[in-house]
Amino acid sequence: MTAKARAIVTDAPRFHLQPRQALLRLELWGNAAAVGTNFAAAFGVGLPAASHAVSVGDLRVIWREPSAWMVAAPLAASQDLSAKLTEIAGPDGAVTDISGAAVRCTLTGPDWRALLTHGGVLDAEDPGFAPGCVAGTIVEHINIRIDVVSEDQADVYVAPSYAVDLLRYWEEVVGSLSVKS
Amino acid sequence: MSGSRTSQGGVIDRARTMNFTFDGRSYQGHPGDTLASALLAQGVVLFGRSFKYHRPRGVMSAGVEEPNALVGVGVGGRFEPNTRATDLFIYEGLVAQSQNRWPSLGFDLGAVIGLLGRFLPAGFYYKAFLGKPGLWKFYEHFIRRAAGLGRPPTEPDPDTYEHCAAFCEVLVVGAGPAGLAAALSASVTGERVILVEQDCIVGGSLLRDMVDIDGQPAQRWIDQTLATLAARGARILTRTTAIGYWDHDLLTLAQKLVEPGQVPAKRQAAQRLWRVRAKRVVLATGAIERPLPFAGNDRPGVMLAQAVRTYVNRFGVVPGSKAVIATCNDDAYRTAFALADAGCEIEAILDSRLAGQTEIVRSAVARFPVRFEAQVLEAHGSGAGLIGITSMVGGRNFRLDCDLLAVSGGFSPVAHLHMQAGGTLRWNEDTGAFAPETSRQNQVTVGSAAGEDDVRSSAAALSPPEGVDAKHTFVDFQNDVTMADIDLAWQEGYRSVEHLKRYTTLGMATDQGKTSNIVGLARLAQLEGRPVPQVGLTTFRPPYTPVTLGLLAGHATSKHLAVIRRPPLYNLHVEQKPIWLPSGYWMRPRAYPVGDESLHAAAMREARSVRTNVGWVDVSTLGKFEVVGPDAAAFLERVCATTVAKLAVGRGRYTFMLREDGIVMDDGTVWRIGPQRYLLTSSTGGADKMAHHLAYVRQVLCPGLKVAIANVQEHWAGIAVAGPKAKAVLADLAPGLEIPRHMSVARSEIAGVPVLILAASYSGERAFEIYAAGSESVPVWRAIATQGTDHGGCAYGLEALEILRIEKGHVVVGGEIDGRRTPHDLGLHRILNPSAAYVGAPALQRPALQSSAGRLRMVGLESDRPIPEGSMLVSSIPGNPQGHVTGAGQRVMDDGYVAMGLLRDGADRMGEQLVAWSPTRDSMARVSVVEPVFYDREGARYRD
Repeated sequence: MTAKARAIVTDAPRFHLQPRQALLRLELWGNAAAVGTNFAAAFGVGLPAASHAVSVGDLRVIWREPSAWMVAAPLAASQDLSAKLTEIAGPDGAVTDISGAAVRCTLTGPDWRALLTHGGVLDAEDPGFAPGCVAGTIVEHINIRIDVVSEDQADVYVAPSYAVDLLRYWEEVVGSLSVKS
Repeated sequence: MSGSRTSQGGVIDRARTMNFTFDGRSYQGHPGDTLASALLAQGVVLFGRSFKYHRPRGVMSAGVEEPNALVGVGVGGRFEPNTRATDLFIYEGLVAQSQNRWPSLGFDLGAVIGLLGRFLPAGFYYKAFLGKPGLWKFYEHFIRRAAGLGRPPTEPDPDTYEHCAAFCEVLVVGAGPAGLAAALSASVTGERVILVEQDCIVGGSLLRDMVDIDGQPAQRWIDQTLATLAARGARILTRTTAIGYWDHDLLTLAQKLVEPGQVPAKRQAAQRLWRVRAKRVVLATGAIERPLPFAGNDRPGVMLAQAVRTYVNRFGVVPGSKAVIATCNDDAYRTAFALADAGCEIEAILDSRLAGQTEIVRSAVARFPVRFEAQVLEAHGSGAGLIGITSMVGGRNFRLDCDLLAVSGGFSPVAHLHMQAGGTLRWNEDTGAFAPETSRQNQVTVGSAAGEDDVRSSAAALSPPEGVDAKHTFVDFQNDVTMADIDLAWQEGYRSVEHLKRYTTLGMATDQGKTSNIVGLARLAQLEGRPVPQVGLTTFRPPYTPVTLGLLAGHATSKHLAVIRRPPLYNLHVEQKPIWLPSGYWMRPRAYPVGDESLHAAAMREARSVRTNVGWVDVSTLGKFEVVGPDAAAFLERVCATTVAKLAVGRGRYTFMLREDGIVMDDGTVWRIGPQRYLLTSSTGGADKMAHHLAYVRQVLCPGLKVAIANVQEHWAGIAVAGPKAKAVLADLAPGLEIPRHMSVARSEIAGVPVLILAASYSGERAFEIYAAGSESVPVWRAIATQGTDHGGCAYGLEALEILRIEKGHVVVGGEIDGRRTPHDLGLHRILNPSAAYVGAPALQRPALQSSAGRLRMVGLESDRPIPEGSMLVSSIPGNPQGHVTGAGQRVMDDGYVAMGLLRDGADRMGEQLVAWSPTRDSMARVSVVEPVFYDREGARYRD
């Protein structure tokens, strides 16, 4: 009585938790243009626009909300980076360590987008949601932030308290996706 | 009716056979068969019994509109009742059984109810079950046994269900010729197109009428179109029904990945719910043929004409050997030709219209006996089958022998989704049907669903012939609503179509009146003497076809019913095997029992440890926010109802926050941890709400302030160490540390981990909240546990925490802070910021909040016996409630019980004797009203 189900045909995406890293929140309350200039002078690129992220060496600068960014960096760089960002922000903003507030899960494989259609509400299959794009959304009632790193990779940031449930859900979903080859 | 399989033709795989059972008997069919077609091919005519009268019922249709042939399918937890045999594709091992019969389908004792039909008219329930309220308990037993279609499964569903999101530029619903053409057109530009079809294959009416299209045979055109769509990247979802059309062009689709009752492949879901947002929607949902009203129109052997043609052309099944066609339109003539070509004898075509001159009618007249101005008066049966009919032709009655009666009362465009989307309908006199008119959303209806078929009919055809037996003329087949029921309802004053529906149950069964609504409506219009459109329509509600509860639940079942938030120390707690308590989404230890200790015993032991030695508790889940910037203090003065601005660096204080209406929303502490940096804590359950509140105040109320706010709830794990030996434990953990005095801050390292130490007490004892980065908190907890144990302490959970806070008289969100209390109600008015610049201050000036008379105010309660939590406070039993108990517990170190409560004018009633009474739990306690602090009123114990 079994049947081969009509599943979404996909290269089953893979996902894994990344090692702990430093996460710093840079929030500005004014003079964003000047701070942006300072930032560009220090790092070679400007602060990313809304819903975007940029890489600067081993840093990833991710837009969070209007006037606020999250900077991901190796743990060892945390204190120096914090000081540098504080200097850049000057009197126009503040830096807060939020390293424990999110864990990073990397989705890989050409069909990572298919995984994000499950239990979610985001148009993850939109070609416009390209590398460098960032979106906040929910998957199976869990708040996540997606950073499209490349066509084959996206980083998902999730609060640690939700991570176990999210990964369990994805494990079940991935198991239900057919593998092309 | 004697159904048979043709020797060739149809869209089935004749090379293969599949085995299945129906009511325990084995049958065979071919891949592509529905249960209905496979059984009809083998001469089965009786599929079930009707809901109310237990009348024998067969197959009426060939699609989802089927009202009669409902079966239960599957076994165990996969059993699914009320499955339409016409919408169930057979698979190897399918197990189906008929419904609503006992002991068997052929011999059903329930059929005796049919003999009592005259005593069971419309509104029977409303008229019969009257009397004293107690009598309902007697009626209920029988009504509950009789109510409901089919029986639910008794075992848990072992399958999984998925929820998916999809987006597209064009969503086409229905893959008949109109839908396929629409999808083909939409896909030309490379836009994302989704085409959904409820059938297992695409083609729609082309599968029934194998006509040429675009100069090609239908099947070749279908194959070519599918190939083109696939090449253009269109997503084609078969076995998928658009069940709901919501605002903003959001549609929900129900996709069957396996057939009902079928076992999915390993790790595969059984069904998938799609939420599709489309820029444009094309509805090509076709039309549903309508039955005709005459006595016995529900008998097995009476079928819709297009359905008969579907069985012949698609499934290669001839559902009878001698047929009569009764129609009011040309389309049914095609059925006569199809049947005749398949070897069925056509006894007559009865056309209710005047003699027609269309090409198909002329051809039929040349080949079959065609009678015009002819209607069926009654269908006659023997046992379960049809043996003939009585027809009225030109005012005279004739008897015709037949085992198949194919009827057509015209067509109703499937406008359900259009209407769910907020569209309007227009009445078309030519076709006698409602069709979509204006659209409210970005959707268009095409093909038969738009009433574009050139099939002329009229509502008059839906009126029964003169002299028909209305009591046996069925309108709603699934709910056994007859023409007489409608007449009676109208006589009794039910003139609105909505009232008629509810009084008679017309259109309220699982088919939602797909074949019956318009017939009933036409009858009401006739009785009212008004045109059909003036009578109105009932509401089209989702879902279009029934869906399983599993599909709606999706992944959220069993252990996944709700998300679980795990604090950073979760795994460490698991090692200690605590009793868990869901606290919002968080899972937190309630107590750590030793051996076979009960919850209460464990909690009391833990609480005593805090009072006498030391205890430590995980408080990581508290809301925590860092507020930074030159205007941080000003911002907090808006958020907090207490003074903050004068707080020195390294100091903290208790605070609480109001909503804009002046009601207390949460409480916590605020700490100045740097010259321009503050840490604000709030309750666990209110953390998310507080995050929103802070964002609101920042962005809307104080957009000009130079302040940044970071939610660090999960960044910091927190461990509270409390008890007379807490200071000693901390000294051992951080040698050289100058222990912070009460409400002061210190920074140090414990187990090599940087920590922030806040000297604050919730228990009433000297206490410290020690915060470390969540990912580094485990060694901190272990170090505290080691030192604490050496000092005779133990870990404690939420139960002990609750007992301790009640004894100390601290308020808690969800208990005393219940969304209706002002600061005055809770005794917090004494620490309100006199500058009154905080959120909620203006609202506190309202007269209703200025006067405390009659308001529930916080009090303490004492008793010599357990005080039932949540119980009402009364003067005597029984009595009017004057308040309630918000939290209760046993005194930790002394005898007796204490509680906190909210009592009307409570602050003015100290010393009164009341009763805490819980009639639902049959428990009570005599209580004294006292000040809500039971332990260390002077606050000496938490100060050095």
